[in-house]
Amino acid sequence: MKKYLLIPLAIILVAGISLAGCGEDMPAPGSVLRVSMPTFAYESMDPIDGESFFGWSMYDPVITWDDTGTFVGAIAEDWTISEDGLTWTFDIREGVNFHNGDPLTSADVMFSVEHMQSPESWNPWSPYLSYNFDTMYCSDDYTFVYQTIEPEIPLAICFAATRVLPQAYIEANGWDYFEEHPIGSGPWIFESFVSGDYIEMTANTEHWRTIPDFETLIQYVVPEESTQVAMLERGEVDIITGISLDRALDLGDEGWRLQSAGVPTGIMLSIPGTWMPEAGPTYDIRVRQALTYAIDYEELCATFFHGYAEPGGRWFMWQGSWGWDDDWEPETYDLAMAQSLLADAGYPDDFDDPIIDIWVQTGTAYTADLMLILQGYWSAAGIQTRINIVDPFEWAGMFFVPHYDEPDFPSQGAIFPWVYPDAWANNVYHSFNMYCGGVHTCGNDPQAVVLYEKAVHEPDPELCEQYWSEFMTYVNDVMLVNFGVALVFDQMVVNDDVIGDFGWGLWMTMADAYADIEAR
Amino acid sequence: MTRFIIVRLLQSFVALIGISVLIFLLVRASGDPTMLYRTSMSTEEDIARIRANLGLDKPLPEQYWIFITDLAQGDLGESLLGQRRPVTEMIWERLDNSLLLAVPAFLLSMIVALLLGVLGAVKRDTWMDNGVKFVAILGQALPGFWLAIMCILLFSVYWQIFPPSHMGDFSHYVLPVSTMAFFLLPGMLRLVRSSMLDVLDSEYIKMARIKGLPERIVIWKHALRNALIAPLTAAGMILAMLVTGTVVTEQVFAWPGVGMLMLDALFSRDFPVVQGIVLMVAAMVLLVNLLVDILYAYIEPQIRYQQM
Repeated sequence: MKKYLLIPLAIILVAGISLAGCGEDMPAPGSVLRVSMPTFAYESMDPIDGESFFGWSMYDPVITWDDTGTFVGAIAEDWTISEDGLTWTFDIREGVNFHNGDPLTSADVMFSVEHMQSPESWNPWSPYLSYNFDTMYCSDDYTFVYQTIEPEIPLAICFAATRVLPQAYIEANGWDYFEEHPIGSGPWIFESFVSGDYIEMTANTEHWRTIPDFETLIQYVVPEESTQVAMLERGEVDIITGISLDRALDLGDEGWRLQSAGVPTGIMLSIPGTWMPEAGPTYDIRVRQALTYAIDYEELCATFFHGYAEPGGRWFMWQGSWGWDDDWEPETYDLAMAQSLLADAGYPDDFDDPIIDIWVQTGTAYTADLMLILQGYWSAAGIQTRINIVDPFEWAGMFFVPHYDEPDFPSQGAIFPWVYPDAWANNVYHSFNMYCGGVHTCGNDPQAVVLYEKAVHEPDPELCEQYWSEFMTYVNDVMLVNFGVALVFDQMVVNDDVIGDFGWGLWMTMADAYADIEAR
Repeated sequence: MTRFIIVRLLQSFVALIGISVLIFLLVRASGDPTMLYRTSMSTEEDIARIRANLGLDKPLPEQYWIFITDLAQGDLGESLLGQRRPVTEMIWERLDNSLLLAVPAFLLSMIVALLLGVLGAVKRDTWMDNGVKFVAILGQALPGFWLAIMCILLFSVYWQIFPPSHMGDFSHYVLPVSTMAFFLLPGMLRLVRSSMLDVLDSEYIKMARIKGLPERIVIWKHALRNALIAPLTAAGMILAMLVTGTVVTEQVFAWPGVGMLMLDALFSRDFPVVQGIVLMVAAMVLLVNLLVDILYAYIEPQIRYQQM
């Protein structure tokens, strides 16, 4: 019997040895920054394919914004807008080279803007460039001119989302080649990429803004949280991201360093169809106000979020955002006020018919648990709610498709929680859809449209920002179809090879900020 | 025999067409993929443009006709996400990785199942047989996901023996291959054991023993060879389905194979990728079925006469 056991054992051994050469071993730590994340989401080297985040490491944007939410120069060192607000003149930074050594000129910027506003683009910012486009040209090698049909100061966000690509390289080699061998002018140079596995880049030691501390950056896809933690504990990665707050706090207790993941995640609630009587109780603004007063935001942030959140989360804004007014305060907790408002609205006692529906989508962090807690707060004030958990597609069908002519549609008067990673520095284009008759069926107020148009098409930048603040005040005080619950500071866990605060402020994503992470 | 094969080929082709219609309709019934592209900035014009770009503005029969004619040329369409790569290219790229996991896991589970199955049958109702049955029950009872995480916890974190993720040298294969093999083991183990028990009770085995043949010859030559027919048939099917059966293992061990691609595509409603993978697996299962049928017909002429 023993003799026969040897045969299969030998087969296993041979199979094992033959597999030994398969693939590459993981790199040793040192000057390599290794980051794990649950998913790459959009795998593409072309910025027009959605919000391809690889791009933020490899390419430079035309302009960007600083950590106060103010737009500042990037590849365009500076820019001016004509008095009539129709002509944008960008002064392109001299001395910037692409990773292959070719100089970056205004022709590359124009090429990139044309690409960004092409009909093939899936980038969500692209349509706003194309809708108002008149003409563009390069007046010299370092001056790019863009003209619009109407003044539109907020277009700056679209230029901040446009990454500069190498025209000559792409035209010489084609887009397919570029997808496999992308180059840009950004702080990281592409080395290799395996779909669903990893992307490796090396530091651009001649970058105009910052030279990365690490020589190499490798980002791994690791969908399972426990595997990410195991990799961290074995020293196979330096930073793990996208893990739950509870797990991050556990690791913090074990001595690992927690690091805030850039701009906070905003949690907000939207209520469609509130101008229709069929919306039910939320038709009355006093009920909506009661909903906001009934939540103990401080307690929620201290307990559910363990202190890693703060009350706030105004519609895609946070302190420092463009158009932010320092007089704005987060929603406040006042149970007596909530009950008084409900009594004024005709609900002196608890109402249970009709119940306000809450629609929660599966697979979104926090929301289901958070809604249970909010349900408790609201119940204490006398507001009865019912949580419905649905597939993201069903949720999107209810909330991202307009239902203006369907007063009995179940979304009318219901509560839709949002968890939006990375609050944005500029919420202009989002607001049209929320408040001005857009896809969410939340806003149907002609005055909001008037204020929106006034702000967006104001040629004077300072007045534009002031009008925008007025618009935001109006939609919050008069419409109240959306309100913030909390700003959550998601935590990533880092090892000792990574030091200092990451400090990328309002830069778009973490990928954009890897260049600023310091090595021990 | 030729007629039998032709009939079987035709049946497989019809089954494949049926599956293609089914999967084409099911992925579309599961939701409109443009929903995923809707953001707070999307206008109806944007969505209409995306629908047109994806070809979703055409009637369903026309969409199916485009799909099936492209399929006939080996084109499974383009992914809806990222750089919209050809689905065929994406699947082939990941298939290697899945096979690198599936084949060793399959071989390992088959070998262990064979050894333990024979051991259990020969030592029937002893502590060894009970041990084999316990392993089989354990394998069936433990969820693969939990087992994979426990393996990582023990072998990667506490004992620091094997790495917990990604492709690499031999050591990277140990945990995912073992986990998968353990997942496959119970079914095959029980099949081998029960087949062996049936064969060991047969008259010709008694005759072989009466003739005085050594026990090892009786077991490994006469009994096992006859007991292998059912397990081998099941093994073919298992191998075909293993390619996508690696979903849990690939997900936990961050292994960039077809299973992980399938899961990502399902979550993101990337239906060209989903239908491409399902069709590929269906084709593999049909192919294995066809080969098994032909093999049976070759071994046992009665089968081909009955089915013609």
